[in-house]
Amino acid sequence: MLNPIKRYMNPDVIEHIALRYTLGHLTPRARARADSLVRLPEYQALKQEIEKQQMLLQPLHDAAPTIAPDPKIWRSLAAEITSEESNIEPLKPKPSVRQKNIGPFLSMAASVLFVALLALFIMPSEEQRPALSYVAVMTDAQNNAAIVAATYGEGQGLVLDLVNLPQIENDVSYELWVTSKTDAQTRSLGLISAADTSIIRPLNNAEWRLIKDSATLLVTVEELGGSPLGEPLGEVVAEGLCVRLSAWEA
Amino acid sequence: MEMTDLINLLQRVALDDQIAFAKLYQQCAPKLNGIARLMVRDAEKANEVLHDAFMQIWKNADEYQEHKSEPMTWMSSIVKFRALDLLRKQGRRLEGRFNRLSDEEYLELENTLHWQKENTNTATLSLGMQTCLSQLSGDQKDAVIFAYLYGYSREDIAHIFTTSVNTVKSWLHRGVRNLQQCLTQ
Repeated sequence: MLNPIKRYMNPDVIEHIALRYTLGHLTPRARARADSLVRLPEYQALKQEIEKQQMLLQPLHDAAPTIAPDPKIWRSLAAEITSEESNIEPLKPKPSVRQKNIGPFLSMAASVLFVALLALFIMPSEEQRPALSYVAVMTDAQNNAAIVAATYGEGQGLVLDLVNLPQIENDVSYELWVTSKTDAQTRSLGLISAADTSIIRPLNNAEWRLIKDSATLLVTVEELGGSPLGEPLGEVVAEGLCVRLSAWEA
Repeated sequence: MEMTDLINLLQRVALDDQIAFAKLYQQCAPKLNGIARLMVRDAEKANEVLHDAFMQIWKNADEYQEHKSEPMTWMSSIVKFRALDLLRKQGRRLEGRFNRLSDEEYLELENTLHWQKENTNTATLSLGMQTCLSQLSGDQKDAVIFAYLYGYSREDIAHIFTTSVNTVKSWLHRGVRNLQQCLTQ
């Protein structure tokens, strides 16, 4: 009988196990064993064969339907990850960036540095950054994410991530609005530069109160410099509910 | 969204970036939910799978290696295994046993399969995949789709085709090998 290592060196055995793994035909115990083996250097052939078969069959998922999940799933996820971050002892034991393979992160270094520098001036440091307090994922008419807005803790700044806003002409502006839960009025939170992909915008006390009272956030296309009437006049290009994260206590 | 954007989002999630996680969810959850739904065949259960899978993505994003797999391959594998775990937990998957199904069980299996086929659109597959699938024998093609997309065990598939488990093993083995040869030509 072959010892386990030699057995897993046999190409036929490797192919067989990889196929069963990829198709989901290993028992949970065997799958867990395969998962632990592929972390060891002597089982890299098995790891490569599994990766090869997964890459081969993955395109079949293109035939699966696209079904919008229940909104409560995101609310639950957002609450859980926020609650993790707010713990003094994080529940998520991750190695520090320094311990990880740095290579994959180099490509994003510039954007991280940019945001970090901005945050240095208007937000507390990463270690001190409070939990996510409000978040709004604004979507376009096709329900695709267009812009994500978030605040941390007591609203030191509004973090805006422009995911997919349409191109606009030079003679118009994007304007961000907040609709109040209390009086249903829509008030401006100012213009958004379409040239940036990530913006941290300071909030004054009045604006922070608007966020705390917000039902929805929306973005419209207005004439250059913003709506002259102080209310949205142009096309709404993105809109989304503003959700207060339950784990955060104001 | 481009693959490089998804890679970037996963790398940011690995740094505990909650905004990136929100974006990743917005972009990928509908497709991953569809993958889960095809396997667990129930909207509520599919949402449960999706939730667990995204928590795993949040916790393990630092394990994603862009040079090893594409983001959707990595994330859909997580969804797939969470879905399989749920099916096992519910005892809805025949494994290591080949009991005769009751008429009721057989009817349920047929109804489920009918729903799964109705909700599978092979026209959205790449031309290369469509061509290579069409070159497989009917049994091989169905066995691969039933196992990979619908999450059926070899015993389930044997019941569906009223054949032996060994025959199903052979269909799957030859089907995947032929697919691989065709796609890499």
